[in-house]
Amino acid sequence: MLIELIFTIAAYVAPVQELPAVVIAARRGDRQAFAELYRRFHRAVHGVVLARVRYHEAADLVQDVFAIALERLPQLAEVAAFPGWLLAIARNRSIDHVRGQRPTDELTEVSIEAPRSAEVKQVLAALRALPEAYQETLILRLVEGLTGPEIAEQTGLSPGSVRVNLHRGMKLLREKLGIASEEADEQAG
Amino acid sequence: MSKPDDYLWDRSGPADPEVQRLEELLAPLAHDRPLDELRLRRRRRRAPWIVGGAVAVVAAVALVLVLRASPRGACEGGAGFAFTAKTGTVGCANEQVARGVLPVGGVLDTGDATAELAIANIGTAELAANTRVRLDRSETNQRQQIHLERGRMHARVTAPPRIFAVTTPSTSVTDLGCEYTIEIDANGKGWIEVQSGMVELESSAPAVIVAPAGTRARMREGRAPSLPVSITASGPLRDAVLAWEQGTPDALTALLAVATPDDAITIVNAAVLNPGERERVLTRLAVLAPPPDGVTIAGVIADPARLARWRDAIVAEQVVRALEDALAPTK
Repeated sequence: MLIELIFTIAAYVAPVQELPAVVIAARRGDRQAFAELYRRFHRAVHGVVLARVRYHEAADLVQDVFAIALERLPQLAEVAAFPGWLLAIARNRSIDHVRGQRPTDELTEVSIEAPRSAEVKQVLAALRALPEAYQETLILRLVEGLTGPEIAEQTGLSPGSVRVNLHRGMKLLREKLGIASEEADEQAG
Repeated sequence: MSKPDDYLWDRSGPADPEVQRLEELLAPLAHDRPLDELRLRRRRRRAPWIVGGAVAVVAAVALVLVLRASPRGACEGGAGFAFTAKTGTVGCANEQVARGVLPVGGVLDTGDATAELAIANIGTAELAANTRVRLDRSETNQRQQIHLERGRMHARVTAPPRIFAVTTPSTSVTDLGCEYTIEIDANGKGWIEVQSGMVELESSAPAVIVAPAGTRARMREGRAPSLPVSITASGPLRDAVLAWEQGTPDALTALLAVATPDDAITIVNAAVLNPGERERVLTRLAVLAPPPDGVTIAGVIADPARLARWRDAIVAEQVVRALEDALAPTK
């Protein structure tokens, strides 16, 4: 009885589980653990997919990616490689999806006001025109709202690489959108 | 002091109005749908006969037997990094094989053998005995990343900077186009020696170390990598760096005193790793390697990002010197 009580209390006060433990539990068939993986990574997967496919198709592909991941999880040799492995599935699934068709910036399901919709299309097109290394990182930051440290954790990239990708990607994005950077402003001033 | 892109990095520091505007504009596109349990179940139900029954058991047993008899295992064929054991066999996916392809997420353990691992189509890595590597990422013309759990690896890469990276238990090594050797134990203690080009070293600490050709840096368990030291550095300089690593009082003073112009790469990285002592370190660095035009000590103190230009100039000089040393006839 006492032990049960201790476990019950521990379940409430336990810190967030480390990723390897969650992956191991999910691999053993624990559906709650898999749902936790979805909660932690669905935005990263969506960002990776959105870099390649139409917006209105992306959400559906996210579900596909997790279904594939659930199926293949027993084959994952190293639980620490989960973030990179999951995003590799997302990239491959997106590439399969767009094979034979050109990615466009259609936004038929975005329920935002028309004038802003045009601007969203323009920015998304500019993001997709960036070198691949910067596309995903900037979409994860600007669309999915992840911070740099979160992007590093969820993609398996080093924090330094993410920071460089954000910095250089943003510089290129500003150029493409015709926005003066703060650095340029300072130099001009 | 905050850096100009701190807001872009983690929303700390003053908000960049343009970044903030783009965030607000694009936020409606963020993914917020719940997990589709039905989809998961549908996918699992595709072959319901597998779930139970004697037929399924027999099929599974037969499959296992066929796979065991077949030369084509988890590390044979498919996408990944090709490898060849140079002596004996190496372990991949719990099998001992002479050659194969390491898939993403797969682990290669050389055991008593040595092996050569192709880094996609951009280079090769020679793996010493008792080396264990995991392929974390590999996409065509994109980032290639392996994790060196332990052992020794000699990598030669001919690709644009930042395509290839090696993570270790303590330090991440980002290739900036070069050749280098890493030796590390399972706790993250080891070293890296750069033979050509340069690498960036980083850990959980915010500072990034640049180690160019002709230098060697220690990688430390649970800490930032140490200062890169020229392989031709004097004994007193090496002793001073060791004392600095160990936190010996006045070690930095001793290091600055014994440094020569050939040790500028060590001192410029010391300026990166010692923000509290930066002015003193830069004053000495200015004597050893004057800053490039437009860069001043006061300017770097006001904006540490400006140190990058000074370091780039020193790194370029170090790379050229290492190349000249390599090409010089043996005395």
